[in-house]
Amino acid sequence: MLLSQYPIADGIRLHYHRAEQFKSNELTVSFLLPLEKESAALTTLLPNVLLHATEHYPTLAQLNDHTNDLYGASVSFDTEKKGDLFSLSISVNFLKNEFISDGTDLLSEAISLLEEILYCPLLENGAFCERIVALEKEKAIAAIKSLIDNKRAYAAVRLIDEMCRTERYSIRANGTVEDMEAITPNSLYAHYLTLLERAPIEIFFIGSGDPTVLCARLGALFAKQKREPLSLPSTEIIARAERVNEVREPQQAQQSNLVLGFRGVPSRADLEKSAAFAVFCDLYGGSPTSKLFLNVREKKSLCYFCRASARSQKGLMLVQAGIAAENKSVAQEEILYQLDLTRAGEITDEEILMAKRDITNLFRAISDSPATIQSHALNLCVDGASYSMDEYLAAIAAVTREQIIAAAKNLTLDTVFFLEGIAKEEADV
Amino acid sequence: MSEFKTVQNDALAESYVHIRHDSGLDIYVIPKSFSTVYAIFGTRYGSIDSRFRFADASEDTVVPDGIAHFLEHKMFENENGEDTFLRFARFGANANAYTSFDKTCYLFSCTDSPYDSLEVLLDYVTHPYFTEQTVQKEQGIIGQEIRMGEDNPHNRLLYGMLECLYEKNPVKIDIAGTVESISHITADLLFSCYNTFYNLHNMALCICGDVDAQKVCEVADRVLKKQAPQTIVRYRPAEAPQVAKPRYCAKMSVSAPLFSIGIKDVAISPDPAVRAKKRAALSVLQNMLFDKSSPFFLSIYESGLLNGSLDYWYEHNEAFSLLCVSGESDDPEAIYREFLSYIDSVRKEGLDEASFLRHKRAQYADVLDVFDSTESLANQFIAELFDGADLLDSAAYLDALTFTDVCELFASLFCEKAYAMSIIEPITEE
Repeated sequence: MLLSQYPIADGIRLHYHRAEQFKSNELTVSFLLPLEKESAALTTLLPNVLLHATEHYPTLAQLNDHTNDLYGASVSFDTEKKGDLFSLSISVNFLKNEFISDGTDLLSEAISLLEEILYCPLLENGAFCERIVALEKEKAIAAIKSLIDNKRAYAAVRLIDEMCRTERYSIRANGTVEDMEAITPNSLYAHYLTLLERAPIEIFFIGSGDPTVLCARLGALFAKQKREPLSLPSTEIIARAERVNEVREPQQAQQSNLVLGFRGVPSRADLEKSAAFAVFCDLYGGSPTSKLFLNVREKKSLCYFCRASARSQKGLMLVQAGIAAENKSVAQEEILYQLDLTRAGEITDEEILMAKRDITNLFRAISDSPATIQSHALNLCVDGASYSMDEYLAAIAAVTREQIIAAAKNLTLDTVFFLEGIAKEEADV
Repeated sequence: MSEFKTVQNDALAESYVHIRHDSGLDIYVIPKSFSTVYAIFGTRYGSIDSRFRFADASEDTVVPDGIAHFLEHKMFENENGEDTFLRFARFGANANAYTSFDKTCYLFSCTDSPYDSLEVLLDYVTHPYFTEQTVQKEQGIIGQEIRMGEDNPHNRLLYGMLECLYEKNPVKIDIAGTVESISHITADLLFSCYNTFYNLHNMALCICGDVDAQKVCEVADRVLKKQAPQTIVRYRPAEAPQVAKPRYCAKMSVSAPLFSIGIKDVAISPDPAVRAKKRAALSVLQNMLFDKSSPFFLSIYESGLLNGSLDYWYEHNEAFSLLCVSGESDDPEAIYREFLSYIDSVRKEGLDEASFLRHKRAQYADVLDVFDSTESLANQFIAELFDGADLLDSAAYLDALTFTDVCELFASLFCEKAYAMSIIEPITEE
């Protein structure tokens, strides 16, 4: 959906969505940066340090006590790779004033809290505290290493490593252990200053509140901030794969993970093509009535999980399946066979209708949570798209069989990554 | 004739209509002005019902582990061969199901045609169809689901902890069973479980969103046949207060050890109101003890002993009660020692009343948060309902909570013989 936009400062916008149905408000500040190796680690570490302690709440406990005092307000953050861009979002979620009986203005308190986090970091010697940076670095490194605990997520990341080896997109979103280790309180502080000065900033407010008041408060918050917003690079898109690369990696696991990476997904800025691809992806592998679910899972009993999903900002589609190791060839064949069938037009009218209805349902459901509203709105900013909900749904409804076939034909298989499960005896105590 | 009753809570600005449907089913319609409508048709039957007795039987029926979950999968099959997901997809609804320890729930979410989808939901769950062939086919699929679960270290960690805590309570059995146990499932056994537990008097429908109670009732009128209630004698073995064993340890492909400390609680009141009150106390106490302001968290976090966040949760219902604290650490035994010494210090110094008031106030946001999504509302409503409580009372229970309540809970819950720890360690290179 389109949120009302208000300028706050140079390269800083407020996106406002009035939502009466929730009992709380959500305020999110999102920073956008180019995806770069060292800055990925810095940007991943930064919110951990900012939310560890601030000038007026100099310990974890005090900061936590303060948010608890604000009737259980919660502060959270999220970092995400979006094509060749990287986003850092910091959110404050807090109850609406009508649910509080003592007259506290939580909206005002929440903005003050945001100001505290962004502009009152705990510093020593003109940079972040050494002890806190060291501590949070350790945690961040542990988090990077723990990717392997989730086989499906690990397999998807490895596919990207291999497929986009020579492309910026292969930069790991959480940073690498080496880059994280190299961070110092000074380098992190410099990055923090850069973020405030140069990153385009999109602010989202979802809930009940006067936009004029919000603009005034946010304007005041950023008033003294020197701004020189950089223009964000566009994402490198490789339209076609010239040949297929197969990679196999052994792993101590009961189940194997097969991931196929395809090129040829259109950008969401092109509404018509993007809608056609969305319908194709849903009917191919995006729902329990999709070709992949009905064939790879139900008919051939090869897996419990088999899905197709798009990384549309990078123009990629991934098909992922959790299978027994010995079924790799059979599963891969079936996945590609179902794609061939789609390209050959073996699609019923009912399949198309169900895919359209499914997408319509999912899309309408976006307005049911502040998090999904904010995420969708941020993606629109990044994609350079500006369609309304009605325009999107109309585009979906208008997708033709020929367009679906064209979307399928536009895909080329680039890389197959197979995380081969090898079971080993474990010691049970 | 179906009876309608409206229940309202002005402080929360929430209400629902309870329909005592003619068929024997209890239906709950929760009006919300959201885009989605979310409906759950659930039965009080889960993995802990590993044995049961028909009212007129002389002995228990023991069923293979994983059968409740297997049944859930097979429910989607229709006698005419039509796929249930297709039936929902025609109306644009998103369908799913889950089996937990104490219930199986069939659900859908939609932004259009809720009554059509509701009809599909009520219809397919009340028309079971199982054959040896369809059972056979499912073995492969669930086999892969089980493997996926076996590879999930957090899953193993959880079951390891439950195995430590419980001697007899079937909550420690993996909900999906094992590849071996599900191989013993037959169509006859599935029918046996279905006929015992999928009786409308043992089930409930909860539908949340922009729907009208009268129209919901009409759909039920069309689909549901009147059913006589059936007595189910459930297996609820007594458990000693002390844990079955203190440690579980397994090696898996993880980057660092994971730990899960379980605190066993056998003080479960037969009175649902007492249990609901205890849940309110548990929710505040666990935050007081383990959130980011707690000395325990701070000491293990700041010392570098704890790698990331500390996860904690509790479960308290008619069948089992426990508190769990888990995370990642290079030295789980050191965490355990810190835990012991922390609990000891709290016992000596007592809990802090200012902390209690602060956490009680903060908990209010969590209570309200449930109402901000048709999905969380419907799921929590069913969870409370199946334990004999009303979700709309949750704010009142929190409101009535006193510092004394929480101190008494701490004293009764934390006792060393009730603690155990499960550990998942990295596989060491040879």
